[in-house]
Order: sequence, then structure tokens, then C-alpha cells
Amino acid sequence: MSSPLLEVSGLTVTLPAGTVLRDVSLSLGAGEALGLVGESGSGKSMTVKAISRLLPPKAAATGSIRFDGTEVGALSGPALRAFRSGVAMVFQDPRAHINPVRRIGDFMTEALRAQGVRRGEALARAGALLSEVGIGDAAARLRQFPHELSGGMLQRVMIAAALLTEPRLLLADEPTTALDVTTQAEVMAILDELRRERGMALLFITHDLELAAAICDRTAVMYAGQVVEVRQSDVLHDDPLHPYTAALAAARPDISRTEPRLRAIPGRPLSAFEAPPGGCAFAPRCEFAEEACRTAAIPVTELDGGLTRCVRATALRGQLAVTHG
Amino acid sequence: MAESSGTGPSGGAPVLSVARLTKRFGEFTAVNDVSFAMPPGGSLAIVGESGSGKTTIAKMIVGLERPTAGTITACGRDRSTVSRSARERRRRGGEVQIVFQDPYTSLDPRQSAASAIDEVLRLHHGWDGARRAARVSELTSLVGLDERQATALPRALSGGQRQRVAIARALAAEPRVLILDESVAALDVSIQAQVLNLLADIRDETGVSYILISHDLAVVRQLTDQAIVMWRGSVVEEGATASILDDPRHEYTRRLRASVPRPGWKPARSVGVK
Repeated sequence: MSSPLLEVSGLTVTLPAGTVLRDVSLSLGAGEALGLVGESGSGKSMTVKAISRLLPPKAAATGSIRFDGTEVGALSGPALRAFRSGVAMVFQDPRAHINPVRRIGDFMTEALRAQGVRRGEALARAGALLSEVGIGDAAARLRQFPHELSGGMLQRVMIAAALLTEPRLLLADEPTTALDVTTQAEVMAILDELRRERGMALLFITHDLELAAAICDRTAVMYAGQVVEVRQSDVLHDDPLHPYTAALAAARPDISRTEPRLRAIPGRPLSAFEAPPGGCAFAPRCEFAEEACRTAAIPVTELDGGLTRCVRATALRGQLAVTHG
Repeated sequence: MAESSGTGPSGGAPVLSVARLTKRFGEFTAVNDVSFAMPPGGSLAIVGESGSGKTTIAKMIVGLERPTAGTITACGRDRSTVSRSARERRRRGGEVQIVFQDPYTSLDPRQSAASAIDEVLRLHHGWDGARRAARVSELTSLVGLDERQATALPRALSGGQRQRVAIARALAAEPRVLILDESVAALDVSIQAQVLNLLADIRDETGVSYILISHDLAVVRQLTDQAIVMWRGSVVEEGATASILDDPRHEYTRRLRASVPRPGWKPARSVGVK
């Protein structure tokens, strides 16, 4: 297998307030979709910021992030600009990431124009992409202002804009969380379709395990600043390797049945800087925790084609699936 | 469909009913001819997407918006018009309380949980300090806050803990009806499950009725017996929550149901684009 498009290894990020990422390793092949799932404070957004070189100024990062074989942290000047046009981003709130006083067309073509593409040509390409994301009457839309579009429509514009420079990797940070559920389904379908057509890689950040599984080949689960499991999405729900993944799937109410009682996880999610230095950060909330979980640092284990950061992984193998009744 | 009343098995006179409720903002009709009735101890979901009018209904019930037409009756008394006196407002507050979505904006940043609850007790019950203190401690332990959390300011509490404070504060008025306006939507999954279990326990213990306003059908399934589905201001489907979700009749409800991510789900482009 050729080297991955994106390879994060041993990434640790420390802010003045404390450590936010601890030894994060991920790899993403060209054209592959990887889900990054976690609760608030798990470090999923910070991971994206580190990859896109948008960490806060006082952040200290160690470890390595390589894109297409090149260390991202070392890029500057034209190489950094080339990296930025190869890695596009879509965020949760489209209105916070678009200039409200500029027309959709100006916003969408800004990156292309910076690359020297002529205005007419750039607008034509923007219009064609708007049609691809399901926006009719593209010429009129390009002349509109952001406030004239609904949230779902604007998020489609953001996706189209991100794809205009033909990036090889799209970083999508909760791109559908602010949308209604029917609009979410629509936007997800569009994202998935365009990604496959273009052979673009996708890092999809969400708090929703099922949503990630729906369009991602593999899913990584984060807890307290660490990746605790990486697994094929299609087996993650029925055969999780880490107790946290299993507990997260079991805690969610189910649309097709009323549980006598939900299996809540006791306590609350920890931030990385609250986690005990040695041992597993999830151990205090884990029903399977033993002495070994609390004392030693937890290595990553390879198991059944996945990765898990659990010392009991082999012992618990096949016993963590969500069962009802 | 808007004509119907008597949502669910009625255990006595409805504790809350709205009839032919309508709200217009200028030319725009936010709520169109909505009727429902809630039996004591019932749990009713109002389901719909943004702009469907569900929050406007909640605001009218608690008196934050005035209906353009229609009536709202709680505990046998009309509350469709503006209350004329502080006493009347207090009485209405003792009948229906609301918990909002965002626990970061619904609490006074300078007031501890205990003090916020105490304020409501003082306003509604005229008890002495010792009795109030005892009730504060009952309510905070009912929602699972320890003593340190009860005396902490909101900034020292997590989102889930803040939402527990908001629930305890709402219960302090001993309402017959508690409106939960997307009250668990902003919580992390593991915390959401705790709060949903807590809400079920509170209903069992106090007999309070819930109106759950939510776009999350799995949460609706877990917490409510009856549901109405709203689309663009009107009720398009109503009935038992389980049968609406297992066998949705209206085309919009079906689309909503099909859009919920679940194991094995794949997103699909629909024909119409809103």
C-alpha cells in the first residue's frame, strides 16, 4: 500500500490551560473517508485545527502531521498556500464563516481568483458546482447575499466553495449539526456523492456515531484528548472494541423502541487536561475497569482489524456489543 | 385534524389544553389552528423542524407571546390574555414552567443553584427559611446535584449540571406542567441519557406532565406517550408516539423518520429542495 495522504502520529497539543490532545495518531488514505467521533472536550475539533495549521497562537504541538509525505508544520510561503488549496474545510455554522456583505459569487470564487483564474471562468465553475450540490438557478444565487439563503442552502454553498479548488482532502467539522434532520440527510448525501465522484479524502467530525458510520469507511472515537478506537464503520456499532464506544452507542435513545431505562454513562466526559496522567481516562466511568486500567499508561492494541486503547480489549472481545431487552 | 382534542387516555380533566391556537407575525402565520389537550401526568411531544411553530406554541403557553386567536387553558383557567396582576402571573407560574434549550443563557451568572431555587420558593410558597432550605436540598438532590454543585455559580458547572439546575428551578414552583423546549438537545450523549432518565423519574415521583418540544425523534420516543407533528405551523399528524414513529401516516412524518441516522442508515437525496 502506498503511503497515506494524511498521517498524524503522536500528536500532542498543549495550551496554556493544559493539554488538549495526547498522542493522537490517525492515517487517512487518498479518497478515503474517516469519521472522528467524540463528545465535547474530546479533542476532535482541536485535531482538525492542528491539521489545518489553525491552532491558537500559544499552543505547543509535538508529534508529526504529514500531508502527502510532507511535514505540515514546516510549510511556509508558496508551499503553505499550495497545502491550503489542497485541504479544504467546512464548519458547523456557515453563517459564521462567510462574509455577510459579499455576494455568494464573490465568496465562492475568491480562492480561484487568487490562483489567477479569470472572473468569468471562476463564476462559471462556481455555478456548475452549485448545480451539483442541488441548488437550482445558480446564476441568480451567485448574485445573492448570504442572508437571503437558508442555513441548509448556505451549507451547500460552503461545500461547493470548498470543492472549487479541487482539494484532495476535505475537513468537515460538524457540518450538519446546525441543520434540520431532513436537511442533514440531504447535505450528507450530497457530500458523500461528490466525495466519491472526485476521489477526495474526507475527515468527518461529529458527535453522532451513526452519522459518521453512514458515510465513512472507518471511524475513530476520541475521549479526553486521545483516540481510543479506530474501526471499520460497518462493524463499529455491532462489535466495538473499546468500552467507551460501546457505552456511547448504548446511551443513545433508540427511535424504534422505548427503553425502560437508558444506559447512561455515570459521571461526565473529561477534558484531556482533567484526565489522570497514568491509566485510562475512561476508567472512572467504565463498568469493566480493573486495577490495571488505573495505573499504567494504556498502549494501542491492534485487534480484529481495528485499533483500541484498552488493556482489557482482548478479554472483552465480542462482549461489548449493544444488546437490548 | 386540528379539530381533535383529547390527546391520549384521559385521566380526568386535561391539565392543559389549547384550542384553535393561531399566531401570526404580520403576513406570516407561525402557528395555524392548533389544538391539543394533555391529561394530568401525561407526556406530549411537539415534533417539527425549525420554523414549524413549535417554540411559538411554548411561548404562548407560558405567556411570552400573545395568541392571535384561540384559547389556552391550564388547570381549568384561561391564560390566553395578558395577566393583569403580579398575583395572576405568579399563579400562572405555579401551573406551567419551562426549561429552555441553552443552559448557558437561562441561568443568572451571579446566582448559585440553591439561591435561584430559593428565590422561586420564596415567590411561590411563602415558607420560612428553614422549610425553604429543606426544599432546596430536596430539589437539588432530586436532580442529582451534590452540595458543592448546589452552592456553586453557573460558571463552575458543566452544561448537563446547569440543565439540572434549570429543571430543579422549574420544579420549585410545583408546576402541573413542565415544558421542555429542546432541553436535552445541547447535551452530550452520555449526559443526555442521564437527564432523560432523571426526567422519567421525576414524572413518576411528582405526577408532573411534560410537553417536550423536540426535533429528535429518538428522544421523543423515550420520553413521551403522545405526539403531534408540526409542519409549517400546522399539525399534520397526531397520536400515540409509538404508532406515529412505527407507522407514520403523513408524508412529512415519513420523511422525518427516514432522515434519522441509525445503524445501517444511508443518507439519500430527496426530490424536493426546501
